[in-house]
Amino acid sequence: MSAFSTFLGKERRETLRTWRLWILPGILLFLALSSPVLTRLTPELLKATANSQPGVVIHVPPPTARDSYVQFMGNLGQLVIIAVIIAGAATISAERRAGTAVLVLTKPLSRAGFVVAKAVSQLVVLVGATVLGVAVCIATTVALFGSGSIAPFLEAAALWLAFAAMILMLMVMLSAAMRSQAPAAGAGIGLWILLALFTGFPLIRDHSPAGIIAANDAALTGRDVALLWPLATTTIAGAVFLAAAIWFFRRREL
Amino acid sequence: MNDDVAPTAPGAPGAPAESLAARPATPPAVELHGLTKRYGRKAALDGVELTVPVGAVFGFLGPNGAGKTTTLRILGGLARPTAGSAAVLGHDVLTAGNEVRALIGFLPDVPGFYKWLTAAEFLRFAGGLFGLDEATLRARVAALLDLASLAGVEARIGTYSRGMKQRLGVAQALINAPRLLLLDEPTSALDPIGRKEVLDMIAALAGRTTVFFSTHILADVERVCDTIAVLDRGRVVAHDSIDDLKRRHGRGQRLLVEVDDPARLAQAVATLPWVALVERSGATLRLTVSDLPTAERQLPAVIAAAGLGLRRLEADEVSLEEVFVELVGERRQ
Repeated sequence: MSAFSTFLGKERRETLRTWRLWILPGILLFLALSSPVLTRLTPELLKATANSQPGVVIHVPPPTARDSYVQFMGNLGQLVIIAVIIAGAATISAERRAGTAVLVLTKPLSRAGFVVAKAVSQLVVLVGATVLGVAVCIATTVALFGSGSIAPFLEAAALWLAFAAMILMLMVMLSAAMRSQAPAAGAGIGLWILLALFTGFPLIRDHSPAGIIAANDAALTGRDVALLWPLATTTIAGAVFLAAAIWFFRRREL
Repeated sequence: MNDDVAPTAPGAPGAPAESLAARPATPPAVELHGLTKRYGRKAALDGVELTVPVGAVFGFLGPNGAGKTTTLRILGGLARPTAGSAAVLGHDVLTAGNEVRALIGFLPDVPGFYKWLTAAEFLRFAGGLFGLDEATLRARVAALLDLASLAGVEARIGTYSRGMKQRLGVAQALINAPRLLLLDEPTSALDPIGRKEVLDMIAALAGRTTVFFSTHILADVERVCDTIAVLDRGRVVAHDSIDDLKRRHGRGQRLLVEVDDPARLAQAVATLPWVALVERSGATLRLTVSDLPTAERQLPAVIAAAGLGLRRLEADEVSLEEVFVELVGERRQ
């Protein structure tokens, strides 16, 4: 077995044996269950609020399966991205600070192999958690609202996953470049907010990963948007971030 | 320990002075030339010249902050020198990468383990990084757990004492049967029992692999090392076998003398030109002399002339601590 596959195997075991298994999948599972339920209960809650105030009448259209998916995707776009940023900020720096990187990297595992294995293991957790969350959200939505078209939701979830994967690679890079988790997380949140602000500038939005954020809403509401540039730039940015992470880590003294 | 774990080194560890003088046919275990490492304006290493022969149990001695850890980090490929070269078994550590790492075992001063693994799991993981096959891995893990007195310990590493972690650290550094074992202060934070256990492990490796062992604990060096270098402020200030260093350093040489009336002998020798200092401890006089051969020749005559009975006359060994203080202290002053 090669050093890379041995280290990847350690990552797999670490995911299964430590808290890492529960953070992203746990958050996604919770949101996948709570989003449809909240959507279903929202009209009742609003009616109850209105009834307690005489003279106030609130008309709320009956919620649909699409509302449930929109609620879930809204949570993915904010809460889960923040979780990805915070968890990803420790990818490399945690091993460096714990001293485990020294024991591993004085054996025949290259620094590039170390970074790629860490990134791959985090990516596998992200993909697995997303698949689990989407499946549970669909099942809960179908149970509460009956069957509806899930294709737009799947498209939106796939776009979100591409964006989240790029954010994860950004965090791997920041984790390799910075000394500890906190500054990397701070920088990651700052860059994510900057990217969100770009959605207000059509020229930048349509030719950058910011386009994915806008395309997400469009997919759920059935509007057509051009995806080539946002997807291409997101993929390229993810690859560049991973390459930069390797570059930073090769130059870092341990 | 099983021979499978650590190979018999091709060079003999017994004759360090000779190996230092003559360049061996095989490349040295460690070869540093003009090794310099600067952090800003501060030089952690300042042109270090050092050769460690294959098979030595080598003590790399120095006060805190002398540059020992920096040297080991460069040898382990964890840091880059600002100038100069560092070679391990003939391979340049800057360019060789995995070639060098496959030959060495490395233990940092504070080893970091995955706390959720057991000792056996960690050793299997470490062996896997070297690409060991299953049969070899099984045999070495069993032998090394035994060597580290961790056989049968099923608890996770997170629950281990410092001594257990340090022993596991030495064991993981041996998993590939390294030709060079680099140990950074392996005993510095251990209690006396933990220290003895780790030193026993190192002593057991003599003749099987080259050990490069950094420490500031002189007693550890005297116990397990045959050759040492003293590093101070980033420079090698001495490099020799322990015996030769003791012979060459230490302020003057000393003789222990026992006679039937030590007070009279103290009076008789006090004015002799080759006597630098007279100390009395019970019936024993300790004479620090500036010219040992003259002292050895003339002292029996002085004792006889004073009408004293000689009971004991022997050379008093200079301690490594005294040598160390002389080497490092002189530079400090």
